[in-house]
Amino acid sequence: MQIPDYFKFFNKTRIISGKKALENIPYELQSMDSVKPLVVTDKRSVDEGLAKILIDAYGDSGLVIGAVFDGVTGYTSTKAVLDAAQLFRARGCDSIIAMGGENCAFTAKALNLLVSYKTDDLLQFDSLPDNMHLRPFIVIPTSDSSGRETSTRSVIDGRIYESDELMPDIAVIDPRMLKKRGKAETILPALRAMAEAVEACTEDAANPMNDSFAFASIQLICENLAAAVNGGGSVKARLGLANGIAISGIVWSNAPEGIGSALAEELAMRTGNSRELCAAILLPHTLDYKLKNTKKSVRGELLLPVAGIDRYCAAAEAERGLLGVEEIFGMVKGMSKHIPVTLKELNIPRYILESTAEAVEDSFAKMYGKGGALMILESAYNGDGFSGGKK
Amino acid sequence: MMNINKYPEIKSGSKLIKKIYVAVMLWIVGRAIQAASRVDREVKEEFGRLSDDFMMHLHVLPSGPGMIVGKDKNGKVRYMGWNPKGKKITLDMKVKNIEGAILMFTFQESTCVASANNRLAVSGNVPDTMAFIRILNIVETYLLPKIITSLAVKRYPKWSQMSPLRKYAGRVLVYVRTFTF
Amino acid sequence: MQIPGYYEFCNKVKTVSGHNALDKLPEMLASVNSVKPLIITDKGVNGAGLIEPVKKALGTKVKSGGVYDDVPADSDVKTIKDIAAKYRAAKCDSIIAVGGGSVLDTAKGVNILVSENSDNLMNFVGFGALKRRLKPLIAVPTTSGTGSEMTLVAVIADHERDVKMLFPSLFLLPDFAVLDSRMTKTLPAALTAFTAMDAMTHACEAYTCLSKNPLSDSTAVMAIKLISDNIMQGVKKPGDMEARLALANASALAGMSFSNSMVGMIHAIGHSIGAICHVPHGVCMSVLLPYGLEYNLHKTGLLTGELLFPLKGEEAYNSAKAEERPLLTIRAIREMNSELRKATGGKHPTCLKEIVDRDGNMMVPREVLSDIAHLSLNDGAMVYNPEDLDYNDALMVLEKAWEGEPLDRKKIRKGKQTSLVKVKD
Ligand SMILES: NC(=O)c1ccc[n+]([C@@H]2O[C@H](COP(=O)([O-])OP(=O)(O)OC[C@H]3O[C@@H](n4cnc5c(N)ncnc54)[C@H](O)[C@@H]3O)[C@@H](O)[C@H]2O)c1
Ligand SMILES: [Fe+2]
Repeated sequence: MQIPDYFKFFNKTRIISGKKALENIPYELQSMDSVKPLVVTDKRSVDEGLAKILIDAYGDSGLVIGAVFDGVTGYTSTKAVLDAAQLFRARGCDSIIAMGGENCAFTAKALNLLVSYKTDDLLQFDSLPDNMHLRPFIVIPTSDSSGRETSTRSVIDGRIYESDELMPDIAVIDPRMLKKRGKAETILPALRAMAEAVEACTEDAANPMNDSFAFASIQLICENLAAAVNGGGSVKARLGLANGIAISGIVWSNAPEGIGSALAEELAMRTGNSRELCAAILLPHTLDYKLKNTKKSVRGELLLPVAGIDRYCAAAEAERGLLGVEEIFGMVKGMSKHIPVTLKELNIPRYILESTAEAVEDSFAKMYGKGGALMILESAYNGDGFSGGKK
Repeated sequence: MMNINKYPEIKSGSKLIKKIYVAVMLWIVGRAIQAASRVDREVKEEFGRLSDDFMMHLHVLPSGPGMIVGKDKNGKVRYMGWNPKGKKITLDMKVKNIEGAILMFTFQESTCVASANNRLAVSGNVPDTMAFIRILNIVETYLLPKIITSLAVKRYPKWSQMSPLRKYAGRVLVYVRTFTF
Repeated sequence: MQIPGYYEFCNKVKTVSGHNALDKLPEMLASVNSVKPLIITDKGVNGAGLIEPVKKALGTKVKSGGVYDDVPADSDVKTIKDIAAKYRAAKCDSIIAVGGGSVLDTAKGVNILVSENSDNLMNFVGFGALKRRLKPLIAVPTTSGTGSEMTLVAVIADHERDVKMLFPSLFLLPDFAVLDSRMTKTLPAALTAFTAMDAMTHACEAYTCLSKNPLSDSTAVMAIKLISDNIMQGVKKPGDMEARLALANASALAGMSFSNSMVGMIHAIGHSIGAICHVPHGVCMSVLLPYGLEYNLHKTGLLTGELLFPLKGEEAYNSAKAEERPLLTIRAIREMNSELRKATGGKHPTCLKEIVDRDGNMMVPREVLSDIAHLSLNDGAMVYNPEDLDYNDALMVLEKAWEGEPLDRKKIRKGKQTSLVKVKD
């Protein structure tokens, strides 16, 4: 275990997960002194019947839901935030429930800033004060969630707002909200969440608290991904996956940005592919690179959440890091029937690889050596096999 | 400006049937506790150790149903209906919502599991709470077939370890006393 | 890792850890708009010179509203009222609690009174009694044991009425926890040993009791690993700052874990020994830990076996068969206690009859075991224990723990065997 000479850790979000979890919401809001939430969601969630399940869960509570605002779309705009704020005020709401993917949560977080500070000017929050007192804010993850819901971040109109206080007060993970999705739609957010958790605990700055959360996240995803994808996908597996994804947002918020997620972000922006897809493709290649080319290589403990306690303990100490990476390699490649696993399949021209690497290179060259970023991208482009750090 | 009427306010619905079911179960359990306090030695002893003003209110938030069991002026354990008005409650056991109560009274979750799952909010002192949980567990072995009770308690008393009273006579007596007035 | 049908997890405490973590105090105070904190501590901690680094960290920028160092062992209602009065008189706006579990719990109690502007703690007993954010509370633990800096409960005694009250509320989670290795450096060997075993017990019970969940599991395993790797070093080389920091982290992780998954029979019985015989909490935990694990084996054998890995390492885990691991885990804990006994010159007990006070008198005479057994059945922690205990069961455990003999597992009355790994009686 590594304990740095100094570290900070914070997780504001309480997790409530499982059977009839939704029914707790009225009680929980009341114990935060609020009675009338505005629900912020999107059309898909409403069409899937999720709003109805939530409203039914409110049965017998004697409380009122201010409104179900379903104006969140695939792009998070200031306009939607302002609309929600107008509705929030007109109805006299005092709390917010975001239901759906990250865009719903992003909109809700920005909305919270506006209504807590009684303003319509989002730009004033360019830098956020430390001790904000925001309205009670609950997130209900669905099968569209990415993990960013539980994070410190909101992105509106391409601008980033970041603060510990933007983490939700509660994430309510209820199996009824986790509808079945297509295979690729199930795999990609899970792999990206895992990529971020893995990256957090393979960085030098890792600490035992964030490691605990990262291990839980990785293990939940590794154990449940196959079952959630194959054979109809059991509810239990989807619940496990949703927990792993939600926890990854907490881990991500407590870790410095890693080279893998920086590359994925940059590549997605330059090519129009989804961040999830880029992160999933890059994950094994980033790790393979780290194995050989970083001073501390990849720590052996990674194998523990990836392979489970029996196989972890059975492996020779010097091999554990290697085996952990190999396992992840196999896991991602094993998905090749359902998702692209090389950048080549995305038809990305070479000059974009170069410019992406260049954009990221500077911040990471110290840690990963010059040219590292490009090597990772090329390996992901060609779909190189697992090299065991021998390359 | 957007048209806010597009997004109506939503009043919460009711769950009448579930509430009626829980109300009936609470009535049965309340009467059964009173009956068991007369015929079962252990239950008698548990109540004996509780203070003279013991008054337990088990109810569902926010608006019931509920039931009250307590000691009367003569120290007799009685089921005292549902209305806490005018009674000095010493142990207030709140189930956080009606669905939690359904899980408990369809015996999907035992009292211990329900506590572990944070479905209950209790105010009152801990020893009273523990005593009451033990009483509930015993009463369940009377009221329900073994197959259900053994799901709800951690350790079902071995048939051979049970007093003959609890085996046969006790059951009948508790049943009779529960369902007659 | 089993995903439970239902669970809750909350640990919203801003944690700062490091060899100089205290230096962040002014920053923390500023971030909550506090200009005048009250420092609460006890005579032992103050006497060990631990308020100095706190004052130094506050520097000239922050003027404290005074230092209150009269907290007794086990927080009590009257002290809390006194401190609240002092807080108001000095017009403080936050609390810095520097001490072990007794001080931290006292500070939580004070915070209730000053935030709710009340003089009666009784109004806030039980779930849901607090509804609002309290004043900022910064917890600086000086023992590595209770994990109180991470827990949502305060245990407060009313010595006049001779009862201990529980105040469970999410609002009692401190705003900040400062884990600074300097603060435990002065902790005497015996205290280091048994407070660490308290943390060890939190983690072991959290991993095996009814409310376990993925996050309480991973924090528990991490805590056990850190304690196993560092406890001997902390006891033998008090000045090893790496070991101190590791133990502080471990106890905070264990606190996170059990605050969310609760503890079971070991704490239930331990609380009762504490109440009747005034034995320090960690001492009771050290002795009882193997017994609790043993008693529950038919329900939790597999889980107990898994703990062999963080306790004894990968090799030991891998070279044992699944059926052997549970008993090896229990043996490892017994060995750890014996080793601690050696390392503390006999101050660390391995059984109840070995517990003595300062003058060498036995603290738990055999005659009181029956009272302890009765009392422990009424402890809330029993709810979360995997197997039931009645009076006879509790007494059996106590008698064996008194003598220092393992339980006769044939005599345990077992409910359904739910452990996937069967351990022979
Ligand atoms: N809130 C919770 O979650 C929780 C959990 C477990 C226990 N508790 C409570 O915590 C209390 C026990 O706490 P504890 O075990 O930390 O002991 P403690 O706070 O009672 O301290 C024990 C003694 O050690 C001294 N001391 C503490 N730190 C020292 C240091 N660094 N150097 C030298 N001396 C030092 C103290 O002055 C005191 O005399 C009990 O009252 C128990 O009920 C609370
Ligand atoms: Fe403890």
